[in-house]
Order: sequence, then C-alpha cells, then structure tokens
Amino acid sequence: MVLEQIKFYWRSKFNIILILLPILGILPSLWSDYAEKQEFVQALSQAVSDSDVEYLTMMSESFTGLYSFERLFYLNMPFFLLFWMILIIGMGIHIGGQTFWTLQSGYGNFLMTRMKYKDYMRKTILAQLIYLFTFCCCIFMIVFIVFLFCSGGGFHVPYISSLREVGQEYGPVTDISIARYFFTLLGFVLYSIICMIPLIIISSLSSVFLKNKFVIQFLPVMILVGGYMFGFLLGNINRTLSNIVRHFIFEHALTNLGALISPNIVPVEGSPMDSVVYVILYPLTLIVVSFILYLKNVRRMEDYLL
Amino acid sequence: MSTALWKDGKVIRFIKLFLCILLFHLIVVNETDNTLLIFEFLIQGTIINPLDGTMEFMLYHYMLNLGLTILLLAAVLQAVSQIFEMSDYIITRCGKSKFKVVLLTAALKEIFKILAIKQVIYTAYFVYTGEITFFYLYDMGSTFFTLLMFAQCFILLKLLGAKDKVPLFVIAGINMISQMLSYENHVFLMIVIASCQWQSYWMVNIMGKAAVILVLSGMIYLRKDFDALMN
Repeated sequence: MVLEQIKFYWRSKFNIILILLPILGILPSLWSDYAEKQEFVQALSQAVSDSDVEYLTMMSESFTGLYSFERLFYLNMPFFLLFWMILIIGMGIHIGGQTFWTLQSGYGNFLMTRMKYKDYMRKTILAQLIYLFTFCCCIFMIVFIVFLFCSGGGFHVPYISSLREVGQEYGPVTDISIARYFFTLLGFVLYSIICMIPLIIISSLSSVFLKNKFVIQFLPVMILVGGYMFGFLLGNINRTLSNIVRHFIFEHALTNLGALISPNIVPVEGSPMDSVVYVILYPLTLIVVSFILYLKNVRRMEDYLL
Repeated sequence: MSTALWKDGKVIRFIKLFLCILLFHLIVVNETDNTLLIFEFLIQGTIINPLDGTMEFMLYHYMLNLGLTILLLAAVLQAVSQIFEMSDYIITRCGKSKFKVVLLTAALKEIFKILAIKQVIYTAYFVYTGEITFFYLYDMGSTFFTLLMFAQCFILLKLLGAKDKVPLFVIAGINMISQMLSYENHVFLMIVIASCQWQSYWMVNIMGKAAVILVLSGMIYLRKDFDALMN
C-alpha cells in the first residue's frame, strides 16, 4: 500500500505547478547576484592606474552558479525563505489534508473495513515521508542545475565563499577541497528538508484537533510564520523568555548551522555550544510534536470496533 | 434570539478573524515617532530607513505581511469554496446566473467583513493618536480590489474545472512572489495590496485592478458551460 500511495502522489499533475512556482520564486536571487556582479565588472572596465585590478577581477569572476547556490543559505535568505514557504504551502495543500479528506469521505470507511486505522495511518505517513524526501531532493537538484546553467562558472570553490577557514576569505586558492564544499552544501540542503518534513506531517496529523480544511492546508506555513510572531510577542517581555522563544525561528537555526561550519558567518548568539542547541532544538521540537500527534491519532481510533 | 446568533457560529468566527488580524497589527516593530506607520510597515512588508527616510525591505515585516495576506485570502476563498460545495443544489433550484451572483455575493460579504475589521482597527488608532493618514484610504480601496480580483480568479478557475487546490496554490504563490518583486519593480504592485512606491503609482494601481476585475467579470458572465464543474 505504501508503494501505491507514493505512486499516487507522484502521478498527480499538481507536481508540475509544485515545481514551477517555487523555482519562479527563487530566480530573483540569480538576478540580484547578477546585478551585484555587474558592479564589479563596471568598476573593472573603468579601472584607473591605482585601482586593485587583481581584486576586482577575482570578485567579478567569483560570482559563479555554485556561489549563488551557496549564498541562498545565509546572504540571500529572503529568497530562500520565499522559495521554502511556497513549497511548504504547496505541500500542505497537496498532501496535508489527505488523511482529513479520507476520514471525511466514504473512502475512509471503505479502507477501514479492510485494515486497522493504526496500520492505515502508519502506512500513509510513511508514504508521505518518502514522497516528501524524494520530491525535495528532486527540486533541489533542479534548482542546483538551473543555477549552474544560468550563472556558469564550473566546479571550483568560489574565491569569496564564506565557507572557507578563518582569514582565508580573500586569500589564495589553497583552500578547502571541492568535495568538502559539496558536502557542506548537501548538509544545508538536507537540514532544510529535515526541518520541513515534520511541518507537513503535523498538518497531515492535525485532523485530531482541527476540523477546517483551509486551516489544515495552511497549517505548515502558519507554524513557520507563527514562530516569528510568537518570538516577537513573547521575546520582548524579558531576557529569559527571549532566549527560549528565539529557538523557534527557522532562519536562526539555518544561520547557526552556517556558523558551525564556517567562522565567517556570524551566529545569532555567542558560543558554538549555543549554535548546536539552535541547530538541534528546532527540528527536534517539530519531530517530537509530530510524534505526539501520531500517538494521539492512533489512540483516538484504537477501540472503534468495541 | 441572541443565543441563536451565538449558536450559529458566525459571530464567533468573526471575532476569531478580528483577533487574528488585530494580533498582526500589534506585533509590528515601530521605533519612529509616527505610530500610524505600523499600517504601512505591515501591509508593505517594509521598514523606514532612519538615515534617509526611505522605505526598505525587512524580512520580519515581510513574513508578517505574507501571514496576513494568506489569512485574508484563505478567509475569502473559503467562503467562495463553501458555495461551490453546494453548487448542485443551487444550480437546480435557482439557475446558473443566480449561482454566479451567489458566488460573488459570498466573496463580497467576506471582503466587507475584512474591511469592517480594518476599519475598527484604523479608527482605534486614529482616536488614540489624534492624527489621520492617507494610507487608510488607499489601503481600504486596494484591499477591496485585490481580494475581489483574487476571488474572481478563483471562481473562474473553478468554473473552468480546476480542483480546489490548484487555484489556491497558484493565487497564494503568485501573491508571495509579486510582493517580493514589487520592491524592485513597481509593475508587480498591481498584484499585491501595497508596496514601497504606492505613493507614486496608487492611481494606476487602483485603475489597473478595476480593469482586471471588469475583464474577469465579463469572462465569468460569458461562461455558460458548467459541464466542467460537474465532474
């Protein structure tokens, strides 16, 4: 049944829109990078005798596709969040309300006469997890290819990459290897996916306490924006509360992951240990909440035969 | 009578919507002397630069703006979608043209509810500060036209046979992307409620939206074939 569910999700024509719209949202970041590159190119063309031609050449050459992709995770964060929010809304609309619709329609009764509700729930969630993971990997591959294709530049570590060691930001080319660079990018991508999957699963399991189709569909993005609202509402009361609630903002978690990997990215708060807490706490909270919801879902329908 | 009204759930739903919209207005960051700037910050997703006094992009306000817009859109589109769920009943009892009228009326009712809520919040702020801002008029007009435009897009796509989720996603996504692009290019101001350069282009903006609404109304009026809806 898991395989059928995954096929059902993948065959949907909604996937086409789900790929097109987020990519449309991330393309402006390419344009902003191009505009920034043009400033250096212009300065190079108007270079006078005392200007640092070597530095200008290095800067104008280092705006490659790889660098544009890398910048998404800290410098071009607004574009990335836009991309991410559109994807989350799409996912919430596509599969978030799936269990709710099944329960509401007669199809649910049909299923439940054949298998236990618990089994149905487990298999559906498993199928959704696999679909979400594969789909996110695919869309990141597409974004990566689009970036490489549009900005060009080949597979070498960009000169001004922030993922280098301390003091090497504008240094010579004796830097981190390309394999390590790719692994770092892969880490960012996987971390983002891990932060996103529980959001959709929560919305899928939320039929326990929500009865409105539209609220269920927009629940993931409401949690994401709700983190900001919650943080600003309670965070301004006092220092302790501020330290607690600022962990529930996705942007902070991503910035701190960057800070752990490279000293050139400034974290939100203090020491490396704080950064580790930031990075772990956000996905962990979501996973714990979704697990509790799963248990509640299973328990609610445990004894419907009695 | 009063208990019946409360049991109906409409009043409770209205109060919930009011509290949600009010919450968005209360958590905007405003460190200037002008309290009324919070409306502009929230609805444009910007903040004022203290050095040169121009509006510029701010991520936190942009997120708040997206949250508020999605809330408003979801409220309006939900009202329209509920009418579509009763489409068989309405078409057999009242006919096709009446069905279109019912759809538009449902959308307009919800939009006027939202405008009333905004009105209350604006009035409270005006009484509190003793001042008034031109952005109030623009916001009322623009919110009305924008929400009506999106509601009509939703109705048209549904009449063409789309399922609920496609128009919902397309409208939300296009609105979010246009908000981001409108800080750079004023053309995208036409799709969203307000952005940085609304003072220069407010007339064109409102007129453009009205023109789009007229075109969409014509397309909905001319759509006689309801077969796609029945699938």
